[in-house]
Amino acid sequence: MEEAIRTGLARYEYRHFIIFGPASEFGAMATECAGDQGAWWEFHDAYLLEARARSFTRAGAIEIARDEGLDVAQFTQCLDNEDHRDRILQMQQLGIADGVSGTPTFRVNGRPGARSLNALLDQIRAAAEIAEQEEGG
Amino acid sequence: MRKLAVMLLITASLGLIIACSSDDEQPQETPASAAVTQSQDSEQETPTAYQAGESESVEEQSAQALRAEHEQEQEQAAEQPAQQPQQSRAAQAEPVEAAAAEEAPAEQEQSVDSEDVPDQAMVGVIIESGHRAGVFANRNVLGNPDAPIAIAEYSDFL
Repeated sequence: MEEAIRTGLARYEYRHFIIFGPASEFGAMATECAGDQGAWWEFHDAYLLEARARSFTRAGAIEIARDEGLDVAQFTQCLDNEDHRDRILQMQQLGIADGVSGTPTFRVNGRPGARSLNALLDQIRAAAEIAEQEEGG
Repeated sequence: MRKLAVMLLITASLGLIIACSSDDEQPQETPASAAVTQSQDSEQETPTAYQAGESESVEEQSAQALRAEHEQEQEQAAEQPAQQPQQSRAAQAEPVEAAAAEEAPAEQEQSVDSEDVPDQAMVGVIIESGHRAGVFANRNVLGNPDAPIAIAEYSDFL
């Protein structure tokens, strides 16, 4: 999958789908606030690791933002104002409309993605074959 | 008189056949089969850790479905040029209009990336255009935004 992304054949998109309530919604909002400063993935990865160890707290999120070199005042304001709540709710609605009811759920070119990694990779390979045929033809 | 007797005999036979066949069609639920049905129902109600509600077999057939759909599209594309010479000039003008109409949604999809689109409208456009749209800007996307394969993951932090 990494190779498909690296070679430009595929793109991977993360969509928030909140099923564990306010704590994970808070995490999603914090990630989006970090995204405002261009650190969406960095914050996401760090927060995912740290939050599992320390649980989801406002102080913990701010500490990670500081560690990532973000503007903490801007980050905190974004977090407290819940600037991205609507955005996350929109993703949630998109997921519901897309038939999602649990996580993780994958889509490959809009089709239901397999849950097992090998089956998912098969789907990606099939999509790659089609893309190459279309490019060649 | 003889004819009447024959007709009566045929009518009686038909009535007998219909009566027998309707008896056969009646579902006969034995206690054993009822137990199986109940067992299946209880299995369906059992909660699972994963709640996506999508059958694994459907997902695993998706790769085959992709290939089949692509082959079908190729066949249709191959048939189209063969039919074209038979069309009149007036008829040939229609595909141009159709192509123009097809270009319009493509422009609409590109505009999805714009931050100027009202949020509510954006959701509608995204749902309409599905995976082809570059949804929610690029911050949560890895790789080439125009890549032919779009992998989306709906996920939660916990």
